[in-house]
Amino acid sequence: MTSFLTALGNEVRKGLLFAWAERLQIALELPFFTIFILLLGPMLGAGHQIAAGHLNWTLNSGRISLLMIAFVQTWARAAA
Amino acid sequence: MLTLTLPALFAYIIASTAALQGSGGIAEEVNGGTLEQAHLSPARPSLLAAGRLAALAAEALIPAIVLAVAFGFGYGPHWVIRPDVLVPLALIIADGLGYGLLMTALTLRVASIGAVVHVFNMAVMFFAGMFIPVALFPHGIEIFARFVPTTLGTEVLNTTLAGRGLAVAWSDGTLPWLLVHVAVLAGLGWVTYSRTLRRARREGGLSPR
Repeated sequence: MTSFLTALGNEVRKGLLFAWAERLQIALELPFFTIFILLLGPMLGAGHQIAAGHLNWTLNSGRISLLMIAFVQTWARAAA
Repeated sequence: MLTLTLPALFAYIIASTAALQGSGGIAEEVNGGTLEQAHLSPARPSLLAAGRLAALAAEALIPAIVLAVAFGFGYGPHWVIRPDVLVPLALIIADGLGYGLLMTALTLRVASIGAVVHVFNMAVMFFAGMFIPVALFPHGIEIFARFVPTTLGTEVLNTTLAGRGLAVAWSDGTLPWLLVHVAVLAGLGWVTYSRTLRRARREGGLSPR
């Protein structure tokens, strides 16, 4: 159990050190991706509204949930 | 809709190619030691920077023109092609190159430049009107989007391509703001590039450490 906790602590520490080394990247990416997801949500599946020249900027919870999962998974893979 | 978004695709390709090629190119030159060799030349640094800009312009314009022509013929958007279209086109190219030069300069100072360039390129892709025209954004986002490289250029280009002329773009304020944007971004890119290179020369940052 002790060796497991030591290994886990080591990995967490390494991850945090790695994140600190990339703090500028994280500071840029996190707010941008948040805004990107929030703005992309109303746009997806609204082609008819866009073509008509007016877009209703409301969020759909189902679509945003899928977007969040997709982005977190993509981001986690890129970070790994 | 394509009539309004295809000019933004052209502008995005100019800006993103200039940024990626500029940043990747100078990083390869640093790693290969050729950046230091180039700066041993008796040519003035400003001349070397002008040469780099010309190369970036050629690299960015080739794919942008090919795509614009292909989509133009493929979709047949209703554009009014007149000589005044050349003004926003030239300003878009200058804006994109200024942005590319800024990213090139930051490559010598910022370790995680790859991510920085990709985030900024995504911002250009999203906010400069390639997905939806800028006028469809909520008002606050629309104002923010106009600070993003090439957004104002795309708006003026759309005005001229709709056959409404530069006078309309001037009177609605987009053309004057575009001129200011190009001057500020190009100046910022040039000054940052010059200073960063001067500092790298002084501190031995022109070759791998």
